[in-house]
Amino acid sequence: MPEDIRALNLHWLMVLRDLANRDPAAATHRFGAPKELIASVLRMSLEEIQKLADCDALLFAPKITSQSIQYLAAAPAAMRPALVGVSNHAAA
Amino acid sequence: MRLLDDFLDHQSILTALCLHKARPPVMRDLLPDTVPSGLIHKMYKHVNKSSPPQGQLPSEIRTYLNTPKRRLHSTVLVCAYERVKVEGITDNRAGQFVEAYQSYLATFPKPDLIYDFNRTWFFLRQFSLKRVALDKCLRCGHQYVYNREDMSDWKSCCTCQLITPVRPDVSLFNRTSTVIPRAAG
Repeated sequence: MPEDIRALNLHWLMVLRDLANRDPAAATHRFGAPKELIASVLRMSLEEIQKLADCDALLFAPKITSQSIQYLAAAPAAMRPALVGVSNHAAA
Repeated sequence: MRLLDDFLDHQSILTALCLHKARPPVMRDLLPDTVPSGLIHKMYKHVNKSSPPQGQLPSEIRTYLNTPKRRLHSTVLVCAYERVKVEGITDNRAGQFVEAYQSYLATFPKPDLIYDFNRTWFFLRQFSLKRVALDKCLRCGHQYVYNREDMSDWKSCCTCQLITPVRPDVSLFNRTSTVIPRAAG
């Protein structure tokens, strides 16, 4: 299980970095990450990212709640980003 | 130096507004008086290679809330605007509108977009003026915007109107009424 979490962390950071390289605004909105965090990740080397991801706790938080999960599962795929955007958790 | 920084900030925001085809009266409302109206017109023409369109700006709140789909789009706009303000991404009012609109653009695929920047400006302005507000649905947990001046518009959750949950039995209302302990023996 800790290996899975570390792999998730690494994957999250790599996808964030990849998207931020191409479109920083989209990275901010899709990941819900502040611009300063994205700028820091962009400045990091691959080794530093691997080191950061080597953590047994998740580095990112879920954007969904137990209440919203049933509605998200039932929604068409194109509508899910909107539901995540209007979930109370996302606004908090 | 401060004046130069302010000027450069306004220049970049003015360019962003022109790229989103914000009409001159909209830009006039969002930008400070130190940015001349002549520059706004010139910049619009320079960026878009055409004159700004004429005609009335949006003026009716109801058109933003008359179907569940429109209400969902309006809610996404307002939630994005709230996030921009809470996270302190920018203190600049025009910048906050631009960031919220970019978040809206990132949320919906292009053919599904309903609002352009001018419509976004009108609705977020109504939100700032507290004519519309956000509420949380107790059933699904999502937020929705409603018209504060129209009581018939209250408790109209767009998510509940658009989606039937996978397991509707799991809800806030019956979460506690599950297991009754059996008597011993």
